[in-house]
Amino acid sequence: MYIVVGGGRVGKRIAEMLDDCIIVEKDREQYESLRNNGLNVLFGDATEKRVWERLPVKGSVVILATNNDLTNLKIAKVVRELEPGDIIARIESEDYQKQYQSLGVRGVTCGKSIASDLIHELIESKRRYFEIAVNKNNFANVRLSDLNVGDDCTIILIYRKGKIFRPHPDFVLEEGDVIGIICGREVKKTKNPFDEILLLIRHPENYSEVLKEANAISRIVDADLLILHKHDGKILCSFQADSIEEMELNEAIDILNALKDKVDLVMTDPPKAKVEFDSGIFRKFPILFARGKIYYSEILAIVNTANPEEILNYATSFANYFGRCKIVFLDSNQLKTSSFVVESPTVEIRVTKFNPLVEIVREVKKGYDLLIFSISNDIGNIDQEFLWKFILETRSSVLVVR
Amino acid sequence: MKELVEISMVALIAFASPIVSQRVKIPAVIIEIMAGFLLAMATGFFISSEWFSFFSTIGLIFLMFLSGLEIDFTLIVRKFGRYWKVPLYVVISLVMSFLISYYLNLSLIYGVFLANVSLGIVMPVMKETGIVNTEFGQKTLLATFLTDLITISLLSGIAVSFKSPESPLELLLPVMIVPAFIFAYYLGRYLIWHFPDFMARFFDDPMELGVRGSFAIMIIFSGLAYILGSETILGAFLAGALISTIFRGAGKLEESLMGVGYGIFIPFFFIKTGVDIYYRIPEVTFYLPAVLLVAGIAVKLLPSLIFAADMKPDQVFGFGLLQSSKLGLTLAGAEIAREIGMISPGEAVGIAIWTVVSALLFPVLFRFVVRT
Repeated sequence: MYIVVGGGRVGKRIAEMLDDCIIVEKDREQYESLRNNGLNVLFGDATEKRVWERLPVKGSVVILATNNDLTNLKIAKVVRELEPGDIIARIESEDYQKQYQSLGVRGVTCGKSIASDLIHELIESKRRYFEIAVNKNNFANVRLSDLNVGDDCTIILIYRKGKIFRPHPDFVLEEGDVIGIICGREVKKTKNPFDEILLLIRHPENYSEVLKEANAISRIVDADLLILHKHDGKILCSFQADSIEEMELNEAIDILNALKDKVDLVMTDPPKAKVEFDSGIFRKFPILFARGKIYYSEILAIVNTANPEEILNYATSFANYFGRCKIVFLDSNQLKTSSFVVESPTVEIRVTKFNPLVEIVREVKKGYDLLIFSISNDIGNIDQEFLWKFILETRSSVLVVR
Repeated sequence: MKELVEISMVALIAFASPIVSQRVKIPAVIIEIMAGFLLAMATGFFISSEWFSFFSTIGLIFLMFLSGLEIDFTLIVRKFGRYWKVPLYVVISLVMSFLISYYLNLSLIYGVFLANVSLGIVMPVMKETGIVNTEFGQKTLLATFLTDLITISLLSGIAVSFKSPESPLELLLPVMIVPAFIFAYYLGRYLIWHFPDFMARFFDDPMELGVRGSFAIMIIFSGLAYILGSETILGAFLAGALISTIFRGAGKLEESLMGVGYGIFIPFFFIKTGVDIYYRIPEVTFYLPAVLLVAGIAVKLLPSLIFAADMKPDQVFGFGLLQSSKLGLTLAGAEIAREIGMISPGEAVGIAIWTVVSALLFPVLFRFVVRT
């Protein structure tokens, strides 16, 4: 059983996603609201031991979802004595990290989809592999493209009569087949890499264009969109922005630095001049420089890194959403370490033949809607000057990944 | 008839040297030098042929062009900061080379010869031992590229200042090749961005546009260097470096140009070096090659101790040994220094002998150290 303490936005979202769950809420109004939503709620102050005595704590997973670390710690001390299976807390300030640890509490740093992070901690703390046997009542004669295994899982192989088959959308399952499925964080990232998108507006004149793209993309990838902008000299974070003021680059960087791990993607307007990739900001988030596109029909992923997993995750994920993506490796040796990339109807794989710089420039000039590359840029011969040209001098939106 | 025999012999050596080289596991260049030596000994008439000197000069220019082309500027830019001890090693080695030359009462240009290293030796040895992509291999390559770049610049600078020590304007004029290089670099980058389809033809064109273009650039820069009072080899080197810098590595184009260079023109230069050694044996004191050999090891081996904390002892030793190997650039430098009178013909031959010995000895020692 799961016991969620705090029925605010986060606690509620967690409870909605879990079966066999009860919320402990001390605010009467909130308690009523949760009950009206059909959730299982207990009214009471979780810092009091008598409240816990009414709950089957032993062996249960307790999720501390209040927005106050001191309250969470106080509750953890009380609950710990009742032998729960696990205690997971939403941590607001990392200053308390050690105190949580000393109480044996697993913490999730406060952030964006805190709820989904907590869920991940619960459900996806390990990568798991399953096998499902196909029989005439279960999945026989079903096409793989019609089989939904969820966002967190993917089919990696099918056993049939002692042979292993690679999954393909048109593959039809037969009785006696065994489907191999892998689940975990990485899979989720490949299928749906963005839960929370932050739109950072620095230049008012670009607002409508960038907002158009952000709205379109967040809708397609089913992500929450938050807008960070400057208004009356203050930095605001909201769901919509009525008026925008020019924001200095340093201001933007300061804010983004404080948001590490709290957003999955930062969308922003291209800067007016190049910024050093070494400035730490590019290492914290994938940053998408938007050009006002509403759909990415043509996507080019440039694999300019020795650790291509992140680029490949985004590329295959975008290919799933937008229909197709061309992935260009700059060195044929990269294919040896990226053997999990399989050419499919949505993904076209190419390796440069003679000079990556010239070939990629030629490719970029064809006019893609979205370009993806890595800031590490440790493979191939494309220098930063040209990477910046891709951002500043083309009409393509550009996703720069870590 | 005599000329036909000469041409046939040179062509035969150029053709057969890589085959023999593979058999006996000695660089083809060394085979060509030895063949030149034997040819002169057997025939006795090579020295008088004008066409032979002409092709030898073209070979030298091509050799320097390819030396520039081989330098991987992407690697230098990427690894310079990360492997900061490598530039430090190069500087220490360079300072030691000039100090030793000074204390041995040798011409200043010996500092360049002592510091120089042959990429033509280093690269094949590393490929053969499978260490190119290791950290050790990358450090070795970075040291080689940096050393090449610095020594060729110093060689040109010293040669120019030796030729016109009393005229500041004449001294300044050759420097004008630098702005020409920078202009050509930005022009090339502009063309890649605005005309990528055309620039792709440098690498992928049935009419070998890349080879033709590279020849044109080499001739223009060599000519410009000559007009400005600098060495044609500096112009050729810069032309090669220009192509390598613009395209961030010449890749397939480099292979084509290597084929043309090492298959046609460059053997003339090395065969002529062998011929020169034969004719100038009486002028050589074997004291010079022996001293250079010892000094050459010292200036490469001692600075490599700065890597003691990062590498295993055998790697530190191997690094120093491989950096001691000389070949094309040293021979080219000796030829220039002889031409302008900085060193005597006898010294040039002494340097050639030292070069040949180092090219034979150090790769073998390196393999032995690495294997153990």
